[in-house]
Amino acid sequence: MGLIKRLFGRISESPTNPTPPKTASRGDKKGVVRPKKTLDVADLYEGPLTEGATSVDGSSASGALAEKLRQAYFWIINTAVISPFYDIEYDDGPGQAITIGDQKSAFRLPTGQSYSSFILLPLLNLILRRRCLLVGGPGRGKTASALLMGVLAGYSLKDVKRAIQHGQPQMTIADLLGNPLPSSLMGAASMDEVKISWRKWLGMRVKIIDEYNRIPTRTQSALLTVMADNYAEIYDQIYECPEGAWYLTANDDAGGGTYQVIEALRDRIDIVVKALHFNSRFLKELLIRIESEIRPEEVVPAEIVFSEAEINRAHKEILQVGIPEAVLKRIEFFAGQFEFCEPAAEQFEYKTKDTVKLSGIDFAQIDACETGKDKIKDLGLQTRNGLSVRALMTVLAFAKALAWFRGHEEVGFDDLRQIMPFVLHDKFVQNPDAPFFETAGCGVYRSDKIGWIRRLFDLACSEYDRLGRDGDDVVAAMDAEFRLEGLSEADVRARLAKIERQIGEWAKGRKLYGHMYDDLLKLKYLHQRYTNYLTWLRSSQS
Amino acid sequence: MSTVMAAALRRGRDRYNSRFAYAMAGQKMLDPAVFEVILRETIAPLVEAAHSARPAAVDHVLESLFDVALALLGKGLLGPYGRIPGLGERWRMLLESCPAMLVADPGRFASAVANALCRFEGAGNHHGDAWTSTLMRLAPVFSSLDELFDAGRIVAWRLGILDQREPAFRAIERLPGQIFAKALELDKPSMVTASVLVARLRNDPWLAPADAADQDFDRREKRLCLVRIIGGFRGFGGVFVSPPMVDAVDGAFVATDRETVRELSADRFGHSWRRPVPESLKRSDPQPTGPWKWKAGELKWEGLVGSFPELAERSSAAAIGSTMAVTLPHSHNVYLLAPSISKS
Repeated sequence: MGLIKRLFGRISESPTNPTPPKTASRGDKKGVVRPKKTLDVADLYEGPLTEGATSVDGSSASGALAEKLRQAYFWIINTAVISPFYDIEYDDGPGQAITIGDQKSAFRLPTGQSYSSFILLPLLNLILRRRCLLVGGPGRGKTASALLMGVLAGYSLKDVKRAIQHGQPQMTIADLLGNPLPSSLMGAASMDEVKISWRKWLGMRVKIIDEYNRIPTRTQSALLTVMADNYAEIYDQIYECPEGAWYLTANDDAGGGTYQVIEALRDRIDIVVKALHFNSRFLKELLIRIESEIRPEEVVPAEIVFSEAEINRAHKEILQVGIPEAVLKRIEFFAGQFEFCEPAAEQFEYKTKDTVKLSGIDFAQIDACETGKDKIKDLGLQTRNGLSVRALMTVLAFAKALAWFRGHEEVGFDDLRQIMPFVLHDKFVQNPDAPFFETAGCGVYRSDKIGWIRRLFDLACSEYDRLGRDGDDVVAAMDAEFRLEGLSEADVRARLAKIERQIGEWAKGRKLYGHMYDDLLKLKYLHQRYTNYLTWLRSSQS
Repeated sequence: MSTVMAAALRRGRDRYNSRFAYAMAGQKMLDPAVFEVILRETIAPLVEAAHSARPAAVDHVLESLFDVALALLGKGLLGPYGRIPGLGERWRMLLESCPAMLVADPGRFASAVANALCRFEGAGNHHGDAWTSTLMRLAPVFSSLDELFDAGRIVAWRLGILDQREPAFRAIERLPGQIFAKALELDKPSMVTASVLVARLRNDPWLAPADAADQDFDRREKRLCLVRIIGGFRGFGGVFVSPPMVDAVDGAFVATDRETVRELSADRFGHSWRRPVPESLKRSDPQPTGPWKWKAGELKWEGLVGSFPELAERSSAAAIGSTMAVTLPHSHNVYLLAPSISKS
């Protein structure tokens, strides 16, 4: 009985994050002041019982939703899914790292509240209503985790189970989306008159596609429309789906499976979560579950179930989380490393990996070109693509969500560092031939994508610090100075000269790296704006 | 047990057993025998009612009620040893009287009603029975759960739950005229719009809803009355150990004896005593009674005159708006005076 109690204990009634720090840890030294709470008169229908922990009006105090999500997280981690992994690490003070094994791996013992990505990220996805891919071998709890998300969104277990779309090689578009009603099909004089019996899952706020890499290519295209544009189409009939969180599972995140996953569909995946192995030290916990006949997904406490209104409100709260300028600049600097490809084109604007990709040339040929740069230091060489706008928007959204979950009002450097690998996991195409992977201890990053992306970000931040970009950012200063109204011809000329001088400085001896490419293009943009203004000024004066 | 209930339990046997086992793991208080009785006597009739309204909804209703009943039992609120006697009976009766709403959203309906009944008990108000029976009587007019909840707020306010005063006003503005008239127990439909009615009620805490709904409200004669006597000796279940003094602090009456400081809120239907925030008392100065004037045993306010010889030897007096609070040197009570519409 004692063991059962330990395993299936109730949700935490004490604050799950009792002393959340109020300031970001790096790159942001500004204090954060929380708005003063106002008196909240209890509603008649609020009391000891919670129907999804909301009042009848669907209202709840500010900050309560983050606490509720933390309670959900801890309930799942302590009760439902045996996932004793803390791979999203935070330190409150100096962390401890012990070197273990021949490979001299660092085994870290974080000093702050750390989290299991396998549980936390699907939860954040539920609130953000994005698309989450759970990858890992069979029996790792991918589908069970997705099922729990459906139950947490307020659906009955039966409904969630029925709504799961199981990918299989014979799956047709009709299987996925619905069928035309035979009676209307026979009697219809035009396509408009055909009535479609849409599948119920399309109308749900949690959509689960199990083994999506077993779906035939044609059906994947139909799925893409639903995932990307939130509507389904058959026989010219349209079904508008509600905003919802997607959970896709796959045994192989490299796109393998019965069918190759189409690239556009892979590109729509916002975050990738790895289902880690079962730790055999927890076998006893499994035994207790068998003996007590308890299925965690059937006993989700009502207190941690989110109503639609709560999810909407939590989503709004997440959007209110700020990103300090210093953190944003690090994202800018990191993102600027990857698109630039010097040998790709003659004209500056087309010196991108996209140009190479569209031309169909083998990347190995480009790699072989000598640019004079340090091939280990050039982070851009490690990828075969740059970051899309969608990828950057997803990074920002999930970083905000993680900060919100931790009770912060602003995104900290650590939030960004922790979330980035999971969001960019399927976005970056690694260039395994890059010299970086041949250096000592870096070969492991060919298989460890999470670790690789985190390392990329760390290296970018080191370079950022080395260049002193927090204090010395010429382009940012020129951008801040940019204003045309009321400028005299002499002022404009001075600014143009300043831009030209700066470009000349860079051209003198420094090699051209990714972040400089974006800087140069920004300077060209400013130069062009000043030039146009100067032309107008002259014509208006003459 | 009814066949409908038995069949529904059988269909979800594993699920329900699992939930009870989970609840048992966390709450030692749960007694399977007691829960069996609750299932048979409280939940089964509700499942029957749901079956009559919509047979397909039975499983959903049972699942929701099972969880709510389990939570109530776990918190010691339901069952023969429950802290609130009769809660289960009242809860069942109200839910049973609205089968359409029960099948529409059983979880929300069941937990909200249970919470409301607990609120009555928590506020020391024993009118939960009256609240239940009033809503049961009104049940046929509700077309949605929100209407029922809004009417519930109005009835709760009328039964003395003072913090429901503002929610009740907002409910009046949301509800159709026919429903709020019934919830306010108006003899005839309101002659004025909901917003006018609410403005009048908000302006005068002692105004009867029927008077506020009267078209001739402005022409009705008012007189100063003793509207409420509250407080009392603690030894007899009251609030104070010695005769209190009263003052107006930051727009609220504060009464104090040598041991107790209490903030008073009151209106036509109820009153409450609360511990005031100490900071507000520190910065307070005695407030003038404004337009209220005493002359011998007579009290004057905005042209109205009332004779209260029994209050002539008052020990303290304070006024907020149209209400005056008075204490006497040899009484543990606080006397509230206010203008009131004369009976026509």
